[in-house]
Amino acid sequence: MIGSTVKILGEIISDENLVIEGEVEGTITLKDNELIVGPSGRVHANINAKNVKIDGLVDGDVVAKEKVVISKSGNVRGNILAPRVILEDGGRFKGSIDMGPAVGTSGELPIGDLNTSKAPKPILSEAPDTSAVVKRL
Amino acid sequence: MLSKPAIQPSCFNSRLLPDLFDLKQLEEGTPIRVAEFGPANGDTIKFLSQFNCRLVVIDIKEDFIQINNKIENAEDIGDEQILEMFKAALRQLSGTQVDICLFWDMFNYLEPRVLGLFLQALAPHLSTRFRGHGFAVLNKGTPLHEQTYGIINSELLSTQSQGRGELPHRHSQSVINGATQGIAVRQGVLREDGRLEILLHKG
Repeated sequence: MIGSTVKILGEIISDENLVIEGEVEGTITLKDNELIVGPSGRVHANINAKNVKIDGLVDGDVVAKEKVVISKSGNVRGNILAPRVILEDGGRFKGSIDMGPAVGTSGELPIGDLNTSKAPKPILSEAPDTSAVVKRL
Repeated sequence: MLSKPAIQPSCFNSRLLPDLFDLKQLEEGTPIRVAEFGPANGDTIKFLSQFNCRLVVIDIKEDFIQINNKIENAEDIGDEQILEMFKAALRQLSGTQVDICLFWDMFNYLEPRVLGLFLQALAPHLSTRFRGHGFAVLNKGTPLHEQTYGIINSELLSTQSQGRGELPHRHSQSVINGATQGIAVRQGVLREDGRLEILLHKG
């Protein structure tokens, strides 16, 4: 878990589930795991995970193998690629969603014809992360 | 202190939705590209997820209000400047050809001349198989309050009131036809609340 007073600038790669209650800028990759952006979480990053649940703020592109859930307190600005996307009543979203039975298996967001401030990068990697900088606020 | 009761959505049957999502016309092997001009809605996202689909949520109301304010406050603002503002508001559609536009009440936020400029800015983003859904009025004296909409299934819409705010304009089908270039109202169905549900096609 990344606590509410923690700010991370850089790349996060994890082989376990992750809860973000603090702030992250960069990229987040959880190849076969779940990411939860908690109510106080603020993520300015591209996300790639198996499942993503957003209760806080996300500004960036989200790729999920299975499902993205934007809860009633969630606010997302970016592009989503996932077979299933659930927007709960009260949740806010602005951007594009590529969805449907055939979507989400490649792990790459086909956004070549969209204006997005954060172009997706090939962020799937097993290599240990050495670039993350953790800064206590 | 008592909390404010949540506004519950209601539903109504739409005779135009089946035409909007006529899969015989839409299934050509490419994803359906849908532009949502209202706020993102969970029902609509769930409905569209059965298709191979790209949904672009533009939620353009705030842009319309800002553009209306600029027009009101500027002494001399030309059509070209207004057109550029609409193009900027539609930048999310850059490079995308949209098959289905969910306009809902958005036409009724703009005066006819400005609506024409908005549709002019939108025109390059419409595919050859374009269809649109929106609301006009039969009687311009009908008061219309703000609502948001969702698609539950191919025949059923959900609506949710957004307080008592009235829509600033109420356009008839002929006003919308006069403002559109290259698209036209194909069908209209009068609803109990005075809204005229309309289906737009190209040509």
